[in-house]
Amino acid sequence: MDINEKALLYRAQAGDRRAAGTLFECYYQEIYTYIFYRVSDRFTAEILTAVVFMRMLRRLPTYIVQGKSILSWLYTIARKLVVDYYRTHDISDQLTFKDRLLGRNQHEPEGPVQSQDSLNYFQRALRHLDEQQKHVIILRLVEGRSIQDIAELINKSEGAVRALQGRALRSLGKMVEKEKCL
Amino acid sequence: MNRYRFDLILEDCLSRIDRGESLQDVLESYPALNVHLEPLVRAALMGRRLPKPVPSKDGFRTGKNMLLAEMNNMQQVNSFRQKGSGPALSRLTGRWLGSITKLLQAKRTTGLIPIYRFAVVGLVLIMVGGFLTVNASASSLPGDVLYDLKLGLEQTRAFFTFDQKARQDLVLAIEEERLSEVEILLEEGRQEEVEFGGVIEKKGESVWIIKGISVQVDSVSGLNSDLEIGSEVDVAATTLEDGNLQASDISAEVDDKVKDKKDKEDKVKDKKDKDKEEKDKDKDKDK
Repeated sequence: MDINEKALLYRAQAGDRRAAGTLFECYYQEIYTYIFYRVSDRFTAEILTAVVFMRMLRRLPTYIVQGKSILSWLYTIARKLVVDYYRTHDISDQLTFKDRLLGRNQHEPEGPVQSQDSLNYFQRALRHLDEQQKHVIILRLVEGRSIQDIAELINKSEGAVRALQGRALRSLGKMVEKEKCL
Repeated sequence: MNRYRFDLILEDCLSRIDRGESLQDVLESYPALNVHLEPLVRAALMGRRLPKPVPSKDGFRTGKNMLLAEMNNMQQVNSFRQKGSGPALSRLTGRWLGSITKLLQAKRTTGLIPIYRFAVVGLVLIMVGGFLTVNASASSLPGDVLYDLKLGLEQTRAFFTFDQKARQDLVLAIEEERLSEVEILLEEGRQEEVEFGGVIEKKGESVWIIKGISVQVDSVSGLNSDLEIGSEVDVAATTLEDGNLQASDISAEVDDKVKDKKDKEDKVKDKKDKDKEEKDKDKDKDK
């Protein structure tokens, strides 16, 4: 966490509206991108992103500023919120083994790339990955972050992140080959 | 080739493409691995083409307004920390300290001789310190210095609550408090050992849901195979920095009354066995 980020956080903890607003503006896009690729719906992603920042605000007075970045904290809140969202709506963002065998797909994403079949397919293929693999793929490929950055953000070693990326790409590669959409 | 080395090579390919090299150039560096690398790198390139979704202006504005409105609500109930100090309680401490300093400085007006004055001040400080510590412990989490004090106070409160219904309400409130502590630790990404109780809602291969909380279970966790969905269980677990909860032990919750009854039965049985042994010994002596 750099000194400006820390100062911003302390000001927000003291109830400074402008500091809280700046935190929202700085990290809104990242959190929205992550949630969008998890829920595949623009409106739901906007609502859930707003809830992430509300939760951050409620935790602020008791939050202990450690070395970790605010974004890392926000990703943790967002990840938990998405899990809660799927649980309370009694749906899954992952295909069951039976679904995969039968080639079913429960919720087709209505992302911003519907006109491009291959990309749309890739979005659907993301659903075959587990939660951590998805997170790494979104951060690495969509956000374009480095392995080192991702390791810091999700509190894992660089080796663990490379392994997650490798496993995710092996799954995606198999599916992409199978569909021959490349 | 092992996975670790392959993952390093894959990452090297992706980094070089990021720097502007072509797919062909990158793959030519590892001809023996071309068959395995190519589909993975192509999949990654496809992922790179995924656009960053653009939120609507309305969504952004509404989100920010919700945040600021919540901030107003929190300001009205003084939830925020005071500028340049710790929690809001420090204001109160400041006033108390001001009064104490005045008491120490007032030589004539109080009429107390210095040693008594210091005794009074000492007593006040102990009382105020105790009050502040107890208050601060209420928001402490597992791993905090004051957490043991919080647990001790809860037990004391439960001990002195004699009304059956009030006691049940208190136990429920304490259980809810344990769950909210776990949620806060997970959100803050702190690694701490926690304990809580609840009903098993879902059982997956590696993740169980217990009272709404996802718990990772693996071969290390001391799992009892009799545990079914709907069973009341006690969970011992560790909150991890990546926001996951790793179980170390999940066991069926034992009701205190049932436990007491079982203890009593065991004691009676032990006593009977001892009596029997003594009688047998006496018989042997007689023989």
